[in-house]
Amino acid sequence: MTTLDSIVRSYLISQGRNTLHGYLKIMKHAIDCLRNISLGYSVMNKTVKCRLDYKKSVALPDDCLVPIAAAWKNGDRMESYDIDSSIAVHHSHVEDGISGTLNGMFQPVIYQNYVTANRCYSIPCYNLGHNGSGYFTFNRKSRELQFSSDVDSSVDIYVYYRSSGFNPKSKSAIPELFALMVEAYIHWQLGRSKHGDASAETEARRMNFDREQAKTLQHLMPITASGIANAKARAFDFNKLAF
Amino acid sequence: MVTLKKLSDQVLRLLSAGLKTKDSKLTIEAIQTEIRQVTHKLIKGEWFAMKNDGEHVVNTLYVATYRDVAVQLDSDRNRCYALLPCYPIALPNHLGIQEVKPQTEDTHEYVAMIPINPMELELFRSLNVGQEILSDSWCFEPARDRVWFTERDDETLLDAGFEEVEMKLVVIDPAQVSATDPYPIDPALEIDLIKEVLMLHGYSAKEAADLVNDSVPTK
Repeated sequence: MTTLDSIVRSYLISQGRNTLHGYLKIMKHAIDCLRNISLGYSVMNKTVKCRLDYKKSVALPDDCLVPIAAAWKNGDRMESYDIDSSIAVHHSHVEDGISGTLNGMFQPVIYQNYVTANRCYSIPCYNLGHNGSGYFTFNRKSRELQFSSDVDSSVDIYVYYRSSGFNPKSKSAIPELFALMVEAYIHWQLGRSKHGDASAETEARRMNFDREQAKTLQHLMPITASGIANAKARAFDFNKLAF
Repeated sequence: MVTLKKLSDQVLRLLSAGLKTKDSKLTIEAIQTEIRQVTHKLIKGEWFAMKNDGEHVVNTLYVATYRDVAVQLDSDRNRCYALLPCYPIALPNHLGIQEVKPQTEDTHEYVAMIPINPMELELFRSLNVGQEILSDSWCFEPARDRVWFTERDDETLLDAGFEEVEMKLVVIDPAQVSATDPYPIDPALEIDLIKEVLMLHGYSAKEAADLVNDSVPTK
């Protein structure tokens, strides 16, 4: 395994540099390359423990592609929260256009779901009953899971989601296999900003990246020549295998 | 090895077309200052010429090392900084500040900090690339007369016990190179340096004053 930091330094050395100037720009390109690869080929699902914030929502981690489920730990069991898209999204600012006045003073509106602080049903009441745990909805705009107001703020929320597999730090471990491909990507992207997209130099660098990417992805694919031959053989003669 | 004194003597001799006369308003100190100023101009020019050839490394002749530079805390911003001992040559991408390292005997910590351009980290933080991307490294951000340091794992340099840093700057610092010390310049650039200083004075070649009576006495 190597690290993002090592890849960046390796690129700097290959360009004849002896200082770390330009590190952040190169790091950004390296992350973009690895993130694209992760998006296409990651099958990782993750569970993380989160706390509710003041408005009973949970910010999704940076590597979250799609949230799948949310639950809380009740003794030795995980009690899931049901999805309810009718939950109003809490917000403390009015730029969404949802504003109101209260006693003649302009104040942001805070919605209460199901019960108020006095344990009374609030208006509007969605008449969905109560499952004993709570409900949540996916607030796409803010990349948050918004929970209903009856969810206990003190419990830990376990969020289960599909992960890009990549939430980088400079010391994040990267398979050594990707190092040359990432360096080729960095070289290409720096060429775009220096020479322009239409330049022959940039195009040559892009082709070099494509070659490196193909070589790298070849290692990830479980396809073999015999596998292809067998698939074909099965398609035409079930009893006959090529190898 | 050439010194600043030798170079300035040479320039003075050329400007005076010989030995300096009593009427001359030129002083050796003024010439030395001009030599230092022209040197910086030549260093910058040489760096750009090398960059066009694909070289990015500054000649070590021109890199001054400063140790025991104190780390201070700006209590308003709660950020650590260190004052620059000397203004370095302004190279692109702040290459004039070549390196900053925590001054320590611990070889694991005696590593170069990552240079960040001013306000670059703010741009980076707003991207969805992982807001903690450099939280495990020391970084420095140049400002006009100082370098600001970032936190590592939510700890400042002073919190981590580093009270001094070591800096490498691209500059010929008068405080470090006196008139009698070997002058750190590429020998190939000495003639260009002398020419530039002479041009400052509008020099043109002239004959020396004929002071010696060459007449042969008649008998």
